[in-house]
Amino acid sequence: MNEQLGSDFKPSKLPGNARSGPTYYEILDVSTYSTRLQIREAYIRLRSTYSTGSHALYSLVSEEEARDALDKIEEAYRVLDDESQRKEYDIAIGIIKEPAPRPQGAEFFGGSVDPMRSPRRGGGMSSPSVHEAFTGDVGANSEVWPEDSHEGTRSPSRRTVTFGKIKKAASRSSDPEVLAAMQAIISKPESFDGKGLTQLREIVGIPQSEIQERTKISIEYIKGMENNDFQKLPSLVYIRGFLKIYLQYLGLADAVTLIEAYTEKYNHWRETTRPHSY
Amino acid sequence: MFEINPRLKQPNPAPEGDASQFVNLHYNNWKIGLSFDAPLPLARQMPAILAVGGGKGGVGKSIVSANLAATLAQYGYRVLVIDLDLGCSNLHSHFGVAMPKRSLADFLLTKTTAFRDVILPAPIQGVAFVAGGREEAWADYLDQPSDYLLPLWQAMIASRQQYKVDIVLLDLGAGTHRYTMDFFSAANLGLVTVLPEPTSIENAYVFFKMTLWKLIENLGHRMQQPEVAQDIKAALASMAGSTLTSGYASCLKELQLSYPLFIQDLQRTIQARCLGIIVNQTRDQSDIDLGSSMEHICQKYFGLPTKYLGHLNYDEAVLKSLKNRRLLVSDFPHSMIAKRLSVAAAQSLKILGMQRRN
Repeated sequence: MNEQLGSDFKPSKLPGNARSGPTYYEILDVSTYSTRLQIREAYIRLRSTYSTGSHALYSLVSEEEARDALDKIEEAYRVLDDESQRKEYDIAIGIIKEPAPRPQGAEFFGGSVDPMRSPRRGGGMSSPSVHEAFTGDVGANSEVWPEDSHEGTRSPSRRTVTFGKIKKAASRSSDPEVLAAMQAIISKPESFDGKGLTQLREIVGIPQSEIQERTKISIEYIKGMENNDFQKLPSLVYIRGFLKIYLQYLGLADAVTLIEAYTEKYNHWRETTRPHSY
Repeated sequence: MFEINPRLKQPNPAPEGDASQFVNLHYNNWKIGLSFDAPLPLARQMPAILAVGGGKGGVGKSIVSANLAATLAQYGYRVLVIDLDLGCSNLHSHFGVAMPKRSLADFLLTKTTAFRDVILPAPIQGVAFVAGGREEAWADYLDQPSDYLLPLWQAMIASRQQYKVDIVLLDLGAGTHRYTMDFFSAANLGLVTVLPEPTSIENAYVFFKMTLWKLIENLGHRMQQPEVAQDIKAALASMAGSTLTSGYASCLKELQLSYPLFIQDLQRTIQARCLGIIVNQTRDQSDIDLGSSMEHICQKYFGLPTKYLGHLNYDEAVLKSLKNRRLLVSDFPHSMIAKRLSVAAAQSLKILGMQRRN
């Protein structure tokens, strides 16, 4: 009787594993199905609970214990926040029986996240010349890209090149030819609207999907902004923010006049369609 | 959003059988942790019992009781508030009522009045209260065994049958006196009010500990094994240290090897209750976060099912309403603190498995 009671919950949970103590999930007080966001929230809550200066521990838990608990929480979070480490850990403690086939996309992006590690054409990238390689790459691209746009086709290899870099702006935006074409549009801010936005994007030569991918603006909103579909868009403050990062990605870091012009168009639409709302 | 309408009709009495889900579900486990030896009515005839405690004085127990009762009445329940701060009562002042002529002492001590007659109408529809007071009369009784409180307990549990009371709210006093813990351990939902300051937090933890102690003692009494309860208490006191891994929860788990049945019953009766934390007088985000931290600690260290019910911000309206001699939520129905109170009330109802009636 005693033995059964003392050991009834442990073996089923940890089959054949020499690990003892709570799992990382138990430490963070989350379920094994929790999303990354839930884990992060739990982590932040627990970190504030056990951090020095937290009153919640007063008179109950000593400082060393709090520090130990905090170390464990940090460790648990470090593993669970990293998708690949979490998967390995799940397998190790027996939550997942065997590794699921890794989705193709994940590997693709996983490889491309770190520009330092991603294989590059023309190799020979050593760590001191990172910056050089980075700027040199832009030059290399500006040679490659005009060919592509002349062909008018998008080869898979080109996509790889585009995603292989982590940069704020689309790579072609520094091309002098492109800059000149863009300047033509920027110089006439009063007529700037969604059409101008589309033109700018086409000059740089990138699809809407790339904008969405890199700026995280929803594709609906990108389409809405480009087609002047104001009723589909959120409130003005969001639109201005979207425009700013959109234009930033096209290489126009301080296009205040364009944003103002677009705002004016938006306000005009608003006043004409909903005159009584104010 | 918070209208106190004097023309509002008295909330409809609950239809038969529409008790709190939580009370119904845990009725059998709940009653083995009681200190009072009295025949109980059926589960569906029991009112939900809420108790507001907190250990330290001045943390807002009476304010929370009076205003939570008013908010629960707004949600369509009939609430009976009992002032159990026998040594220092002032619940009536929070309701904006002068010291009433009839009080709990008349019912319990001199036995000149029936319970029906000490129930006084509060200025809010749906709320009635029993005033404390006559402190001088209690002086001799407080050190006695709590038998003298048994009639009150009997009247309380019969209140749903007799007066259609849905919720009995107990406003406990400061400290961890025997009778305070008797009533707190009898509550389905025990609310602990805390101020975001070390002294109050320390006392709140003492209060949690005493709750656990009381439950062990009551269970020992019920199971006719008082010596087992003594052993467990002694073991807990010697084992528990200032680390989470040596908290009461893990000690109890170890003691399960020696006293499997008793600890099993204890776990059951603990799970049949819920503790709620209300952080009062919060001034910034760290004060608000304190509640969720305490919730986590209580579950880990004491092994008590704890829920963070909400926080009440620091508000000048509290003092103003007291000076106006009116109930806070009816004097300042649109204040932030009134909204916070309604959030806490809604959370309490959710735990008790009760639907809003309007």
